[in-house]
Amino acid sequence: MTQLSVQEYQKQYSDRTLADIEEYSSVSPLIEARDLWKVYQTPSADVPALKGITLSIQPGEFVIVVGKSGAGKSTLVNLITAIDIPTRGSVLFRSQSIFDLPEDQRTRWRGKNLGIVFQFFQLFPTLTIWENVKISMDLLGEIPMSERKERALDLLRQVGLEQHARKVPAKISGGQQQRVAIARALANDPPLLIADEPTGNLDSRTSEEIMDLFASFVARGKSVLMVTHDRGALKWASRVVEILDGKLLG
Amino acid sequence: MGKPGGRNLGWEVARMMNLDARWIKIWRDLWSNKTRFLLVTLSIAVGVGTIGMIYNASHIIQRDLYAQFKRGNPAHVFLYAAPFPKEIAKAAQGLREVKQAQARRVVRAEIRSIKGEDENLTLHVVADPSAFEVNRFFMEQGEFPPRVREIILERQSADLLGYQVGDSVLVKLADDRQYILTVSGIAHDVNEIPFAILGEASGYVNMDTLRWMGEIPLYNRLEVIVEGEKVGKDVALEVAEKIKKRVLEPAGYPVFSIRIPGVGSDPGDHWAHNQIRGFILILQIMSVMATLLSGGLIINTISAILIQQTKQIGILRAIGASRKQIVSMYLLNVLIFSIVGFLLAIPFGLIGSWWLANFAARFLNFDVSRVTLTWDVLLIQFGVAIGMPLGVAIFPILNGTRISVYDAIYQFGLSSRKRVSRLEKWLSRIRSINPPLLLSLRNTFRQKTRLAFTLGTLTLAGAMFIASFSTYSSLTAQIRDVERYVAFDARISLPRGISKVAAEREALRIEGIGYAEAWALSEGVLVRADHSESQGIEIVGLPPNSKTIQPKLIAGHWLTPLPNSRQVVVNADLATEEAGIDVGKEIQIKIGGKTHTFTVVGIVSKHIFGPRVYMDYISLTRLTGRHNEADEIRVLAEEGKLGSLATQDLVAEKLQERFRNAGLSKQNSVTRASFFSEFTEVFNIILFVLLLMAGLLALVGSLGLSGTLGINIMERMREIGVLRAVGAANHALVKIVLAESLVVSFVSWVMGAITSAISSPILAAVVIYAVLETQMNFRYSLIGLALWFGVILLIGVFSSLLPARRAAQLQVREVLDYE
Ligand SMILES: Nc1ncnc2c1ncn2[C@@H]1O[C@H](COP(=O)(O)OP(=O)(O)O)[C@@H](O)[C@H]1O
Ligand SMILES: [Mg+2]
Repeated sequence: MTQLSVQEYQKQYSDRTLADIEEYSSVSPLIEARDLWKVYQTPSADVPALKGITLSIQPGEFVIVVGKSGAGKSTLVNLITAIDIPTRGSVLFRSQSIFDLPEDQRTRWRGKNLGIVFQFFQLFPTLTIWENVKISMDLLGEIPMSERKERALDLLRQVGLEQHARKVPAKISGGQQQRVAIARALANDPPLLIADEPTGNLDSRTSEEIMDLFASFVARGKSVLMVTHDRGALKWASRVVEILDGKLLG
Repeated sequence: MGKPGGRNLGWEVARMMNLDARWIKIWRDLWSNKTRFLLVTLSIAVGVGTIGMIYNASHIIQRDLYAQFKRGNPAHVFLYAAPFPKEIAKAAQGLREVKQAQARRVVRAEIRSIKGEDENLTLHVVADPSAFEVNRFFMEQGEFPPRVREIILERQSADLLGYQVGDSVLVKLADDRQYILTVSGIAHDVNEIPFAILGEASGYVNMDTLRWMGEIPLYNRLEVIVEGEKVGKDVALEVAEKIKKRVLEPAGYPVFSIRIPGVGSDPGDHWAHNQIRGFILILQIMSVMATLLSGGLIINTISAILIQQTKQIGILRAIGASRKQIVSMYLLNVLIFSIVGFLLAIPFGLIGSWWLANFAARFLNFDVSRVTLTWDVLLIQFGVAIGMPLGVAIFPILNGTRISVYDAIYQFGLSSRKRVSRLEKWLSRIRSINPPLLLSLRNTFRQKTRLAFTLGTLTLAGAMFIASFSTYSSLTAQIRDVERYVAFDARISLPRGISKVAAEREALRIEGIGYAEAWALSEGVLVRADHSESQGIEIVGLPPNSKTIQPKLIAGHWLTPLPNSRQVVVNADLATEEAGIDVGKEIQIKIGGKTHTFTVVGIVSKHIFGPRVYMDYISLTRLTGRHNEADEIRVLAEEGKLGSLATQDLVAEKLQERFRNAGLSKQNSVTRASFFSEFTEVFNIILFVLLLMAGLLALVGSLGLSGTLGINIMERMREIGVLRAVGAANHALVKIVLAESLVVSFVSWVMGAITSAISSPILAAVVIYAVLETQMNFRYSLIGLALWFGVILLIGVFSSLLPARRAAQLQVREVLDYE
């Protein structure tokens, strides 16, 4: 496989059919972490949270990273999403090194290619549900203005919240809020969804619904990376990786 | 479907318009804190509105007062001379430099008001009513010219005296000659200093009336308009000198004085031109300060919003918002403040200017035609309302959005663990401070930029407040200083021909009067080295050991009791006005047409009421040829002691009655206190305006402090959560916030006190110069400093109320949610 620039690649990619992507994906990972290290500097001591993590995700894969609290899961998510910067190592998205991009391009890349779901939902309290979904599209500006509202309502229909579209987040339950957060993450149609303990604050029945949503997303050829300490979620994964003290096992 | 009920209009409008969710978010966030929204927009409205008020008011004054004044065709210079016929005016007009000259007779008289009080009156007779062209007035009722035994009253005079057309009035001339005249008309005369200010009414009669009243039918004032566009003082005085030398003196009419109309105004300018300009300048300074303060409040508020939304900013960035997008969101936020503030400022400025112009109109006796919104004022207001907030807010916005995405999402709400400052170390050494308070103070003093704005605002308010008080106490101190020269309990003027000895003896016969002394008074002019003459100077002849004057010598010594020594003491008013006057120097003074040489032996402090020369009583009466005559009697209830207000009134009453009954004087007596009442009234108005402004600043400062405390609470959410978890009761939290507020207030008081050391003398100098065109001694007001301490304590308590309530209301669950 010859090395393509991101632009060239994206151009080709947008013209391809699903079958092409699957064929392509079997040879090249969507995202790849190479030898990631993260050492937090605190006044008392340096805390090594990640110690050389290497992990790649293919298109269409549902990868779950499982580990105890404090193992370094959130740190890993923050580095892969480029929310934080690694002490050493690199992250490649479709062979492009993310940390080589200037800050603003990195932000744009994140908005376009990643859907991020946080443990604490993180919806905007003064916006209604559908506006919370739409704001992602407004920020990126790639989806035509006239289609955004329809698309937001459509995504809410997919997560089963259409009837709550005009409420503010405080008026719906935690599980519903997390589904809104997922709809928001999907707004710009990213190829990869990344979630940090998305079910950590939810009961088991609601958690199941969330996992179902992820599975349907994967079924459409997209990828999911999820970190959790909950071993009950592992059955949904196409691949499970265990993390312990900042290192991957096996 | 969600019900719209309970939500506001803005919410609905934004939704219907299918706006970008970013703008909707900003709009809703603004609405979610209505108090804050109101405070910021109001502060912009006050600052920008004040600008509009002042610009509009000066527009109105330019248009109405100055236009009305110009319409009257004001004289550039007056020549007061021995009674002359009106043909002199024509002769003067023959000079190339003279555009117009007009003869007028002015007579000092008294008029009895409807309440029965005798007030000063200036009677005017215009030489040629058919060609009345200089210093014109305009009839509001009745006809001009008046007929015999009729009088036209100036409208403000008529109003305050209580007379209308058709009323009969009693007019008294010198020697107590009394005449009854009929009011035939009401005139509006902007040329005259209004009755309300000067205490002198103006009336207009014809020459036949004056003759009937026993006066010679001649003129004593030549009113001159000089050729040329903008005539300077020098030019006007030069031309007047020429008229004197070429016209009046050759015809045998000595000139007593040459004067430019107004209170230090330039020729042709309104008499209060400089004072109005000074007053407007002060207001302009105030509006600049109000604007600066609203800028401080905006910085505070935007910082608060940014800090409150730090986490949301992190999330926005995580879902793909560039920094530019976030900056533009918060700039829009500021823009909304600006636009609403601007819209509020327009009516505020208009109403304010209407009020200010009407206040000035009543005071200065002119008419406000209309209040209009002019484009240039609107443009200035718009520029400030939009430009200032954006200009100042850009710094906190750039600063607040610089935080990394990681820090924004995960680190916020924890007290930062940056290096420990010296102040903190010092704070932690004070054992008595309880740990939670120490924690909160640390946070307060760590946020240096934010604290700087709050402290700056409050410091400025304090500096302003103390400066206002200092200005007032400087004025009062100056009055005390002037009081040295009116150190009598009562005084009464005497007509010509009253013997000094008789007057003094009569006064001393009055029960309750322990001391009486007679002064001789005269007018003169200083003859300069180049033979030009100064404006009129008051010449006082007094006993060298006078007990009704306590001269404060700036240089030299007081008069020594050596009769006929030709030594004089001059006041600082004269010494600063005229060059070459110093102790030991000789000066030439012309008294009654003859020039004499004197030696200056001393200079005494400023009198404010004009240049004065003191000399020995005997020396003066010799020069005037009025041996043993007195012009004024000054009395004290007790020698060597100034009487109380009650004493003054009592003594004045008795003096007036006794002298009237004894046929010595028909004048009203004057007390020391009443001498100053006109001064103090004007000063009271200024003090009121200054304090109003300081109050406004204090309010804005308080809002800033409240905002800062609110931000601190946001930033310490987790700490507060922990405090609650370990069982801190509500009142403990409230106490912490209050203590923090008081500490900041106290620091601002100290800084305000320091700043006031600079601001006070500047403000005092500006105000005093604006009002009196003179420099004065500065006096710092310790009372102001102490009062401000009280005010700042109140501000501290007041500012902490809202944030303290917020802190107490925070639930542990909310704090966790915040995680
Ligand atoms: N900002 C930070 N500063 C210092 N240490 C940190 C910070 N964030 C995480 N850590 C430490 O790094 C390790 C991994 O943390 P984290 O990635 O949050 O674990 P997990 O998400 O698996 O619970 C933990 O020991 C944690 O204490
Ligand atoms: Mg975690």
